[in-house]
Amino acid sequence: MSDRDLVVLGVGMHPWGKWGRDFTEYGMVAARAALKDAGIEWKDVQYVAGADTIRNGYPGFIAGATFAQKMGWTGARVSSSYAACASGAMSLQTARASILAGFCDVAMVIGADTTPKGFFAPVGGGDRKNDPDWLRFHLLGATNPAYFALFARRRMDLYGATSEDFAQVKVKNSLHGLNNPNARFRKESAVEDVLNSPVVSDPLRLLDICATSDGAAAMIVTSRAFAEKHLGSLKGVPRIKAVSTSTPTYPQTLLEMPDFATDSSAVVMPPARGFKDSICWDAYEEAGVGPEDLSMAEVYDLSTALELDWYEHLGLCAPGEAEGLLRSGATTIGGRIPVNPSGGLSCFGEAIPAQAIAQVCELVWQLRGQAEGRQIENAKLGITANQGLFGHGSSVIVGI
Amino acid sequence: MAVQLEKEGLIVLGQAPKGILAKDLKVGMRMQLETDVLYREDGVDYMVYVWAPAVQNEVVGGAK
Repeated sequence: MSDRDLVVLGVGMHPWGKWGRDFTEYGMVAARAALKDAGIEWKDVQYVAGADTIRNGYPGFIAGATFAQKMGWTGARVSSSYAACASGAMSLQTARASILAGFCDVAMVIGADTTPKGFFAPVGGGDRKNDPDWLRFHLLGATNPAYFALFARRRMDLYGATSEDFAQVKVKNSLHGLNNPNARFRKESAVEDVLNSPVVSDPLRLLDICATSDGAAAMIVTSRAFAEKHLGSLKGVPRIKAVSTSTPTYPQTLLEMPDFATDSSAVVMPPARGFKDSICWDAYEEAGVGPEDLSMAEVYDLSTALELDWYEHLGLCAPGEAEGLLRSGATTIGGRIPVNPSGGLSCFGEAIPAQAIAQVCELVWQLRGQAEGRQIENAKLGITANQGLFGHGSSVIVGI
Repeated sequence: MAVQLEKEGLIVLGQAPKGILAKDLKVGMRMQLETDVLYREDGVDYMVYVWAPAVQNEVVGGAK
């Protein structure tokens, strides 16, 4: 075990769904589940790392302190991280930094959300002419699915991907999530179901695109010394081996939300690794592992086509080969490198600040052999990949 | 749609002019910059740039 490994003592979730209740209710369920799983008390938590979203109003409203208060003030230190969909990984990183710096031994990482109906759109009224997120809606009507569609169209043009290929991603993920008690959508989908669902943003259809969900996830991470004292042995206990919170390197030549223009490559050559490649490879380098070492990956399938992009960013296959990898069955449970064994966003929908934490929860259950109905045999090492609005990367490597 | 400037490498998203639909567009087409009305309020037109299919032999700058 590396000196920089962090022990994951407990994980917990509130199931994903759509109820419109106070997000802290969901958070409390996840927090208590994680504490119980860890076998510690709330008062043992010295640091609360909250993952923020702005969908509930403004970041302060959903800060680490919000959860600390709801659980009962204990004087614990807090942090609050906003990185859009990557908020969970950023909050994990602050907990990790605090533990590795010796400031504390036991931290809770937590994120919860209640999402509005329909597409995500900028929160708050009034004109915000300096805000690219507001401008893209105002000037272009460019919702998130419009960007997903551009990426899907890109795969079709560059690699000959088809709508059937995209549908196959949904078919796989719907099977994976069928028995996941925390998944919101537990229903098998056939290729025809996807192809017959309404077009949202051509070429993507309703079943190609993830929903917006309510949900919560939490984990208890600790120093090695605390975990050894608490558990006796760390054999088979999942550890965080890397957390990448990378940002792009200039020039960023692929369009990313919420921007509606890329950087120019007229003067400076694009970096050897584009943004989404670098998110994953920074994590590999930190953990001292490579894609060949993985047992599984949880990736951000905002759309079916985007899951295929991640196969390539993660180095599971070369660019243009993702459709082949999917069709070979390699990314299905039982295959060489299962992707989204939880069912992914396809079965969960997106609860923004909880999502990157939920990805890590799944890896932990898989590594412990507790992923009932979706267990990957002999899972030893997993990676998450995710990306938040405004250039927030997120990738976490967990192993035993 | 996403349009790439040939020399600068920049990709810029833009709407198509009213009346141009997805079926009228192909990846790799040459486009040209135009303006169109974004919306009208109190008798004032608010304008926005749009990408339109390039008119033959009239390509200025060059973008695709």
